[in-house]
Amino acid sequence: MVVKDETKILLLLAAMLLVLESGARVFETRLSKDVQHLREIPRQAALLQTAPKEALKVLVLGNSLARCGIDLPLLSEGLKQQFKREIVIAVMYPDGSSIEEWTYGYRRYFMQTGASPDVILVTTGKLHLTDHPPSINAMGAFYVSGADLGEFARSHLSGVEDAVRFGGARLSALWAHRDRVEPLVFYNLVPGYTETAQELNQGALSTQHAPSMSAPSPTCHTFEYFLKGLKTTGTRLLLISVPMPEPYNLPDTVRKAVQGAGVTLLDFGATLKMPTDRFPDHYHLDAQGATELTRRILNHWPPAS
Amino acid sequence: MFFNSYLFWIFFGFVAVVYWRLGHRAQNWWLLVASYYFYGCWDWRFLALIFACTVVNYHASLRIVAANNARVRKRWLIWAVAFSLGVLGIFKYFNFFAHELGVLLAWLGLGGESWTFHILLPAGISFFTFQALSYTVDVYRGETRVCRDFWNFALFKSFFPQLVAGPIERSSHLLPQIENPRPRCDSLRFKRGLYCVLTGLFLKVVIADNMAWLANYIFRASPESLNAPDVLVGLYAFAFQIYGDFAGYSAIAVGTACWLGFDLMSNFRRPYFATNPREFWDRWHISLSTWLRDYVYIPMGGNRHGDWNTARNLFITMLLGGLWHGAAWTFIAWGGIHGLWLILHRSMFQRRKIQGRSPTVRETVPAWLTCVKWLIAFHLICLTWLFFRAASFQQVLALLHSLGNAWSMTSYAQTCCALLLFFVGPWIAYEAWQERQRKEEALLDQAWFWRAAFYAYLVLMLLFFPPPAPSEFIYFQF
Repeated sequence: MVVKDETKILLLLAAMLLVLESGARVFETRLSKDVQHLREIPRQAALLQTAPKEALKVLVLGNSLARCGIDLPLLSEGLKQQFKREIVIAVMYPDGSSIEEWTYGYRRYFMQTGASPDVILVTTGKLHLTDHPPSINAMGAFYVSGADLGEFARSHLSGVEDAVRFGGARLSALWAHRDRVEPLVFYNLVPGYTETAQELNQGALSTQHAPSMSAPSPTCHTFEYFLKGLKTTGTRLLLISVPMPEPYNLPDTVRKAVQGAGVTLLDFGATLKMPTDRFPDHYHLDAQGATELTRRILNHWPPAS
Repeated sequence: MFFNSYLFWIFFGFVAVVYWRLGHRAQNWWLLVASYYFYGCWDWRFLALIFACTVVNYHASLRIVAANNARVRKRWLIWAVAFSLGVLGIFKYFNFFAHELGVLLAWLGLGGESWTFHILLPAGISFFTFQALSYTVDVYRGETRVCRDFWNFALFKSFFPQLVAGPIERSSHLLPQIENPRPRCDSLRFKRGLYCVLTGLFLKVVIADNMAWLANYIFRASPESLNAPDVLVGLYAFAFQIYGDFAGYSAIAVGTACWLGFDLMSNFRRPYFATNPREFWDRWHISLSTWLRDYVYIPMGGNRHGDWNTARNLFITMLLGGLWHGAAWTFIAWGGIHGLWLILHRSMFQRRKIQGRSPTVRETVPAWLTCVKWLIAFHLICLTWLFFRAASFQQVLALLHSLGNAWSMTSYAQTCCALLLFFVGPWIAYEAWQERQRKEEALLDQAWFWRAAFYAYLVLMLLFFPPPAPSEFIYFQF
C-alpha cells in the first residue's frame, strides 16, 4: 500500500509539472511583453529574408534602451529619403539583454537563417558591450542555436551546474521562465519590493565587486567574437552609445575593439547631453528624446549604406 | 559539492545506484571511496588530514582496549584527544589566539607582532574531529565496542552525508550500522528519505537563501541609516536563514543516509517553538548540544555539586559551545549569553520547584502564558543571533543602538515583513501543526494526498522562488 502511495505522489507531482509545462508553452507570450518579443524574433528575421533585393535591410539590435531610444518610423522614413531605397527594419531588443544575448541571438535568428541585414545598428549603454556572465536560462531557452552550442559551452558554461540549467531551459519552457515568476508576484503584491530589491541587489553587488587595485579591467571578448562574425558576412555595423542622464565614456577595451574593426561609432553617450526630463524613469529616453536621438543618428548615418 | 547543487544529486544518484547492487562489504568500500571523493571535492589536500585523524583515533582506541593498566589507557586517550584538539586548534583557532596574544602583549608593552598565518579552514573540521573524539572517549569509558576493522572505522569517520556539517553521530549509533548489513531501501525508507530531502531542500533553497538576501542588508548597511524595524525584521530574517540553512542541511543528510539504509539522528526539532533556553537547546543542533552535555558538562560535574558549580559548568560548556562555532569573541559572547540565560532559567525553575509551583507538563500552563513565554524566548534568541552574525562588537552595539531609532516602517522593513510572511509563514504553520501532533514527521502517517499537496507546494516553491543569489551553507565554516 505504501509503495502505491509514494508512487501516486510522484506521479501526481509529475502530472502537475507536465500541466504547468504545457501551460507555460501555451501562455508564455502572455507572461510578459518581453517573451512576446522574443518569440517574434523569427518573424523579424523573416522580414529581412523576404525583403526585396534592392531594399536596405537594417537590424536594430539592443535592449530597452533601443526600444525606447529609437523612433522606428522616423528612422525608416529618414533612411528612405536619404538613400531613395525601400527600407526594411527588423528589431531584436529584449529587456535586460547585452552583448552575449545580442551575439548569440543574432547568430541564431539572423546569420544562420540567411536573414543577414546590410546594416546592424547596435545601441548600447556604458557596460552592455563588456563581458558579463549571461543568464544561463535565457541563453539556453532563447538565444543559443544548436550550431553554437559547442562554442557557447566552451566560453560560458563553467561546470555541471551551468550545464544542467542550460539544458533545463532548452528543454522546458517552465524552467526557462521560472525566473520571471518571482518578480511578477512580488513586484505586484509586495509594497516597496521594487525599491528594496534594487537597494539589496546594489548593496550585494558593491560588496562583491568592491573597487580594488587588483580588480581586473573589463574585457569584451564576446563583442570581439561578434565583430569577427560580422566580418565574415560583410555586414556593416553602426554602433550607437545611447545618451543617459549623465554622460559617460565607453570602456577603453570596447573603444579599442571598435577601432580595430573599423566600426563607425556614434558616441552620443559621451557627447549628447539631454535634459533630465527626457528620462522619465531616470534611465530610458521618452518619445521626444527618441525622436531627437533618431534624428541625430540619421544626420550621422554613413553615406555608404 | 553542496547538497543544493545539481552536481551533488548526480553524484548521489550514481553512488546509490551502484551501492544497491553491491554486497555489504563492497558497499562499505564503495561508500568510503565516495566519501573521500566527496570530501576531496572541497579540497583534496585535506584528505590527508582526515586520514591522519582516522589513523590516530583508530590506533589509540585499539591501544586503550589492549592496555592492561589505567595509566597507559589514560595516556593513549590523552594522545588521541590532544591530536584531535591540536588539529582543530591549528586549523581553526591558531590565528585567533595568536592574534589575541599579540594584542595582549602589545597592550602590556611587550612587543606587538602578530604571528598569524594564512591557514585554510578544512570544511567541517569541527564536526569530524568531535565525532572522532567522542568515539575514543567512549571506548575509554567502555561505552562503545572498539572497532577493529580500520576501513569500517574510516567510513564512520568520513560517511559523506554527515561529514561536513553533521549530525555529529555517536559511534554506538553509527558504527553498528556500518558493521552490520543494512536494510534495503524499501518503501518506508524511500518515503522517509523523500520527506527529509524535500523539506531539507525547501528549508535551504527557499527559506535560508531568500532570508540571507534580506538579512545581509542590515549587516552591510551603516547602522545609523537603519530604523528600529529594519534591525528587528533583519534579525528575524537571519534567525530563519540560519535555521533553514542548518536544519535543511541536516534533513538532507538524514534523507540521503536513509536511502542508503542508514538512520542518522535528527538534529532539529522545531527550535523556534521553544519557550525557554533549555527547551531551545533540546531542539537546536541536538547532536552538538548532547555532545557538549556528555563530553564537557557532565565530566565537569554537571549538576551534581550544588548550584554554583552547576552554574559554572553550564557557563563554561556554553562558552565552549560558542567557541566551537567560530574563532571570534562574538561567538564566545553568543555562547556566554546563552549560558547566562540557561543559568537564569535554571535558577528560576529551581525556585519554583522549591515553592511547589513548577508545572511538569505544558498542558498545565495556560495557552496565553505559553504564547508570552514563546514570544520572549524567540526574541531573546533573535537578539543572541546578533552576536552570532555580527562581524564585531562595535557592529553589535551599533545595531542594538539602532533598535532605539525611529519606529517608522521603511520600504525594506515592509518588504522584509511581507517576504517573511510569504516564505516562512507557511512553514511555521506546518511546524505548529507538527507541534500539536507531538510526533516527529507526523505527515508520514497522514493520507497520501496530504503529502502530495505538501510536496507539490515544496516543489513549486523550489521551482519558482529560488533565491536571488544562492549562498553557501553557513555551518560548513564551522
